[in-house]
Amino acid sequence: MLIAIPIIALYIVRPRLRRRNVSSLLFWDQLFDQKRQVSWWRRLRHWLSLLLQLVFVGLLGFALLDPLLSEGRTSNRTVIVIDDSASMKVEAGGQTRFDLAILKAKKVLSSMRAGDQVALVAGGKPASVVTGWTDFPPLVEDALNEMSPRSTPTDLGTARKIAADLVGRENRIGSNAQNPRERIAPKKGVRTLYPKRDLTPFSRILTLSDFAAEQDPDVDTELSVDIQVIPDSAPESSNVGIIQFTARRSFADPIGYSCLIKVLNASDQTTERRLTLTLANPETGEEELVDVVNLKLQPEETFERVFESSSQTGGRLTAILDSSDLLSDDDTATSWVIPRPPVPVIAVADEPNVYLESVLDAVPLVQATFTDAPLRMLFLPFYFSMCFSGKVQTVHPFPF
Amino acid sequence: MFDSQFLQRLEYLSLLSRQVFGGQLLAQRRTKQTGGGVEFADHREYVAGDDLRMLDWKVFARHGDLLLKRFQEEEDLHVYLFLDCSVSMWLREENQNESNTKKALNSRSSRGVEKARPKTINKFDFARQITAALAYIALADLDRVAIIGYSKEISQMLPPTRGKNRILSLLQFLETLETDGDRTDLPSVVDQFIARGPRRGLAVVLSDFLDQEGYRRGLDRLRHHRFEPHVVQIHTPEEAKPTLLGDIELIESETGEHRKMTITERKLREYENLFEQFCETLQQYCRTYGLSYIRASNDIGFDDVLLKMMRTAGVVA
Repeated sequence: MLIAIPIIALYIVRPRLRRRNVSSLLFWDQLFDQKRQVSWWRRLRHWLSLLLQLVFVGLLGFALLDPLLSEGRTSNRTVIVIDDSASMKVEAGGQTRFDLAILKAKKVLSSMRAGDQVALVAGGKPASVVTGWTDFPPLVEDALNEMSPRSTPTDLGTARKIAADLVGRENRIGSNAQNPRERIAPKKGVRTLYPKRDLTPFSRILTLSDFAAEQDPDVDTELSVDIQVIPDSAPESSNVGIIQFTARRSFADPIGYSCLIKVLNASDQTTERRLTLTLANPETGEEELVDVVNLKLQPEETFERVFESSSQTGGRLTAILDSSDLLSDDDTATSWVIPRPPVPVIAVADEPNVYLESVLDAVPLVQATFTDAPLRMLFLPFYFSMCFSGKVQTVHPFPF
Repeated sequence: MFDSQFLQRLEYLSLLSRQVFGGQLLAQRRTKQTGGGVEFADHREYVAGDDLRMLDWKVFARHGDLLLKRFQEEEDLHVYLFLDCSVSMWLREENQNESNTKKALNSRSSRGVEKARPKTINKFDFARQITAALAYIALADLDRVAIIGYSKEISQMLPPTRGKNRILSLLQFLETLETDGDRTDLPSVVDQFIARGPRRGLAVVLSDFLDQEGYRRGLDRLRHHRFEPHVVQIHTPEEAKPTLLGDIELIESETGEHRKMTITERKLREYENLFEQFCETLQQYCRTYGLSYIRASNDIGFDDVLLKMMRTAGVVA
């Protein structure tokens, strides 16, 4: 209505025309038929023009306001599945994929109309509902601001199932429904045939993910699923990452351990990286360099090697690839080497035996104590005991 | 308006007219009237009642025929300059000044004649300059010059005067002329002029002739009363090729009538065609009745108009 005011004002308060004195109107009158200008049609055309402009402004304002009509208006329901897996940490154009996904989700929120409902589901593993159905977009926006990408793989399948559960079976649309046009009006309880759009509010699941773990996004055909790949353009593939890293104790060596490392060059070019293995002592925190390997990987080449070393204390075994790339999460892998606790051994002898002491000291994990008082064994009931008296006489699991 | 430079230019034009036409530009023409002059014209048969002093006795002695000698009566040529004093002649375009100056400078520099730069003038001033120039030449040729300022009727009139020494009073009269707001009505002016019983002679009408129908009847009446009308049409470049575009309100200077209109390029082209048709109609009228016709735009100097008149010899007999 405010736009119409200046239009009406311009019609009422007509701008003052430029005035020009001329010698004669003789020729101008021949050019312009003055009678026709004052005819009723001229006047009517003037007001008709005003009327058309007002109608146009009214329709334009009506379209911009997008009013919520009480009859025949169905509210939209949208489930936003946002992938917060580790792959979404990849930077693209100064922003991570997760940031781009958040922006797109906020754009969807800003386009919501009154009565529309939205829910938010996290697509990382494990998938979970962040916010349930709400028609208050700021609530979802706050939840989006609090979200951050996790260091977990993608679990979009579960996330979509959760989203489908949120949408509800009655809102499912598609060819797999038994009779999509047959619906039961919930209030009247009368079985009536309605067109889908009249009874079923339009529901959709919007999936915002990079689909790094899926070659072909699994689209549930029973649901109206929107898939938006983050980023929009083709992603850069210059990532080299550790795809497998396991460690275990050796069966032969009491303090030995081995670890398996797989490094994949997922970029399009040959890449040189350096792989460093360190073992951190859990008690002192000191890091011990285990090994350093220079890698030169062809595109799509996988480096695989088993490293073997020994440590009694064990600790946190870390593999680090230098010069971080687009995704820094897979440049570091950690595994634990369990410690081997020492086995206390009390050697009871009548007299000191140097040979025995040397033998026991040479055995790993053995913490030997030599004594000549047999009664002390009574106070060490939980120790394994070996009694020597010139020769090994017996081995008792308990000193009883 | 008529400063010393203007007078110098008038003198230059007068001398130029004498060189070109041998003093026969306007004046020193003999009328066809025979009578009591000193220059012999012809003989005619004697009839009873004729003056016997005019008998050619020598012819009677030789041949026995009674013939009467006739002499050509010398009479001053009367030049009547009809100057349109309607308000439409006072109109001045806003952009007239610059174009006037440039064109005048270009035209004069090409001829190599150093003359004063013309001031910004309207049609009325331009017509007064041409009137003054024609009057000066006529007075220099010993003709009698009368100036009639008119619009709807004769507003002011300078009676026939003679002698070059009268030029200053004539210029003073021209300077005192003013335009008035009445519509131009040439026929009634001619009637009013004829009613005063003037002697026959040249009648030079200087006007914009925007009274499309009236000018015909006025010029016809001059012709019918044995005057020799000469037409000098004066217009501005803006009248010939207007530059008005867009929504505009046009006000007629004489009547005050106004028209609101939207002028487009197409309308401008149609206007130019109409104006050209109007000028061609006026020229065709003059050609039909043997009248001289000069079309003068006020973006050129008045002396250029006079030179054009000399070249075409439309005013000279």
